[in-house]
Amino acid sequence: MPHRADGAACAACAAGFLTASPCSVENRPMESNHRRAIHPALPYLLGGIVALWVFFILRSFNGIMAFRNTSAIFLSLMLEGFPFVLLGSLLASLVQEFVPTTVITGMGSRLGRARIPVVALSGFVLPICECAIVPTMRRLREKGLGLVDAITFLVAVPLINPVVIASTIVAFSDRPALILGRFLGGFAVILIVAGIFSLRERQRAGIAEVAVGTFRPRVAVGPRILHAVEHTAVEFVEVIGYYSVGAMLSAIVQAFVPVTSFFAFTDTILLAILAMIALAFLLSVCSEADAFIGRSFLGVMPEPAVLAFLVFGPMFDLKNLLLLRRVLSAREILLLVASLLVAVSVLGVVYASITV
Amino acid sequence: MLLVIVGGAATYVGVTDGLGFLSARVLPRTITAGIALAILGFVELTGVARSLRRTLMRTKKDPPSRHGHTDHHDRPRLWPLLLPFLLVPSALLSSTGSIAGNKPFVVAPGTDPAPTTIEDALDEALAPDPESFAEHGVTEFTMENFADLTAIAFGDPEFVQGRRVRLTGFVYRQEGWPETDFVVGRLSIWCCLADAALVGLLARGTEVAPERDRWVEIEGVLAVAHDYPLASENLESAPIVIIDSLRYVEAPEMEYVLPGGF
Repeated sequence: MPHRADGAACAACAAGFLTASPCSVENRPMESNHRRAIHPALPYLLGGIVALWVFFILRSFNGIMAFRNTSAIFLSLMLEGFPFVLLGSLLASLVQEFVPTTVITGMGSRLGRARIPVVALSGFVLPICECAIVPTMRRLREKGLGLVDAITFLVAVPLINPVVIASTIVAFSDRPALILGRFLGGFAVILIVAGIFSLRERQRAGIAEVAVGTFRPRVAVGPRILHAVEHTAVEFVEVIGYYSVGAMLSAIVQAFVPVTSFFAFTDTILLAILAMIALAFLLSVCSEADAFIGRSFLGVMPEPAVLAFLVFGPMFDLKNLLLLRRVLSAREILLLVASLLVAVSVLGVVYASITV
Repeated sequence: MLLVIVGGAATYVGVTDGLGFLSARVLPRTITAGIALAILGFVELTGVARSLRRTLMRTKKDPPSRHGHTDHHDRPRLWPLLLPFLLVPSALLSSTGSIAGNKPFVVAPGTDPAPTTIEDALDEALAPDPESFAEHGVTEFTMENFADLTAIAFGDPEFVQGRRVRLTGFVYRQEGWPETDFVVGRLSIWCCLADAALVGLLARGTEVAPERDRWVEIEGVLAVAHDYPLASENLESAPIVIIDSLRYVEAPEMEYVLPGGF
């Protein structure tokens, strides 16, 4: 990975440091690839969120209570998220360290058509929570994973993994149709989104993905593991900054936005579906728990809308939006949101017509 | 440095007040993560890993110590992260009732099992203390069975009609409800406070509803109600406790209940 603009290996990195260094900027297709730990705007974003929070508290009827509620929810989100972010950071560092780029770039030629579904099912091997999916995705991208595959990875892994499947089965044991809908339907949505991005990639001919090589001197496994461990700390600090902004937003939404107001949108199935998608986006619930939250909506919202909530939730939400801005361009994010919105809505409507 | 503090704080909160924010199921993970974080931070701080690595690689040449990933730390800016830990967590916990304010009320929808299934479900829900279930006895709502029993009751109000129950919860009301009606509720959490849902039973029988968010213990007989707050198309009839006795109590040790199905 360390290459100067003229392609020569950067000697300073030859001492066995195997990760990306600031030297390797020029070769990358992505913008802003400097290995800055923290985006410079993050502190301002944090400050902005806190200001927003203060504003809401001052406006609310019982300021102290509001403060307590949001703090409690925020703290609970942080505490709950720590293990997952840590795990994700560790995984990302290990991928960075140990997975040769050739495996990733060679995947296309070896798997051919089956590539997308395989990536979609990789959640069984790498069960990563939404919280940590973005840094891992970023690492894979840096290793040369194609955009389409990365997007597939991003939306598939938080949904199609053993933990989520288990919690869905438990929460909806009396509604097998909904369970099937969540995973089969979710899989279909993933394929649709992957398809849309594939089409776009083909249209943008000429922008080749550069295979970024990894500089690998002969270093034993031991030091590399240690290096990965050290790097986990860096990774964690990065991610937790963004995660905390997302958690704060989520806490504010939960405390101040009456969830019940979303339940008024039941005039048409489509409206209910859209309302639940919006709720899923705002609430940013961890994909492990959203089955149970979804369950609690069944009394007030029609099943297809709850399905939309269950499918959209793990794929995209407020928390990840912030993190994604470092990995995808604004246009790519927009395309992602739009395709998800359309695909999930269609799924909901189809489900409604099948099950009625 | 930050990591050590954050990791340590997380571990501390987890061990002391963890159950106020997280379900018992996930608490061990958080504590483990807190410890791991603190260790990680310590390792980074002291460069233990780096010197270990150097030893392992046996390079005479001293690797530039500030090179590579350690360069671009802009660490100081994330200190605000500590803010929530600094606010004494236990002070935050008395707001269960108000958190419930924004949550949807779970009415265990759509489970319309045949009567045999309800009996099985009841047996299962009461398994730890089957004695309490008798036609003439009192069914006590515990942390384990609270959500299940309310689900069963809402699932088939006629079936549970006439049974005597005793439950503890906080008073939940919405604007516009008649003074006589309120809900005795608890929050059920699956992994953390953020996913809490409100479960409980309707209650009626006092002239004036008790104070919102206060904890009460009620005992009464289940009846079927057709006109009550929260009535909707999905929910034509609901179980309601006709109160015999009500008293204010302190919030229990464990405020939250397990979600249904456990």
